[in-house]
Amino acid sequence: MAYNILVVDDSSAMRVVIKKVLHMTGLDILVFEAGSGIDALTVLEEQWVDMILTDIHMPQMSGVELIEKIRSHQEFNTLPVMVISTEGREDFLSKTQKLGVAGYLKKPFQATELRNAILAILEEHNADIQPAATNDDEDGDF
Amino acid sequence: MQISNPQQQMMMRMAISEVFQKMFFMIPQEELVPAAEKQYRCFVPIAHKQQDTLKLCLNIDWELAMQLTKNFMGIQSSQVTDAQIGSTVLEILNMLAGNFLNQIDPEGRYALGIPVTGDPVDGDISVYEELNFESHRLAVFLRGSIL
Repeated sequence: MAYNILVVDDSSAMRVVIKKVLHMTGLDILVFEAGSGIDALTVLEEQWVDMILTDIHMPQMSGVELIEKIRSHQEFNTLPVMVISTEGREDFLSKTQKLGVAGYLKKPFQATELRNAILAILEEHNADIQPAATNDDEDGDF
Repeated sequence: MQISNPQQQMMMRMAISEVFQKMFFMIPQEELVPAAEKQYRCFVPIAHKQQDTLKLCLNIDWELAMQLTKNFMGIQSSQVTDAQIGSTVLEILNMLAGNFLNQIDPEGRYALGIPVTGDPVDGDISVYEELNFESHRLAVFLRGSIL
């Protein structure tokens, strides 16, 4: 099974890192990219995705605003969204929990942490997933 | 350099160490070397309703910025572009600032902005930390004071 995953981050360097980790999962993944929440909504108008990985602090439209928009669409209200952000304060975490995010990973992260989090979410939302064998002895290098 | 708050400086040091250890597998060296002439300078605004916007600034030797970009993006030195260096350093600053704020402001009184290239001069420096990685210097400092 192939997965379409949308990566939303205003940092092109961070998008490169996340894409590399997605390929480390060993799954057949097609990656779509957006540099802002607005760009992400444009992608969603044209392309079905199985999961969204989003940053929070972005210009024009924050990750929280993006998730709120997504949740207001019936078509996307159960779409798994994982937040990858430097933000770790209680207020923010409870806000994202209320929006029903599937996972949260704080930057900085190790590659293996992100890979395992992505696999866990995909597994939870797709019963037939066959995750690639993971080797936690790997150094987690990007 | 006048440091008003050693505890905040310690938090800054912890934030820098965490980002460099987790993302780049680098630990700071004890001895400081002089800053290089060519540097990448950027800052991120940190806003609060009741005071002027603070600025967390990062000055990093260009050579270190290039090495970090190469490692971060998994490319050869010859492939590294100025735009990639900018994107990588701004993301590093974003992670430093986020980690610093998580420690210093768990209540969420301050709002983190978007990092930009530049070297602001307004606002007294209240927290300053400089470290060496791979024989290159980086300095992180806060212009304005946390209430």
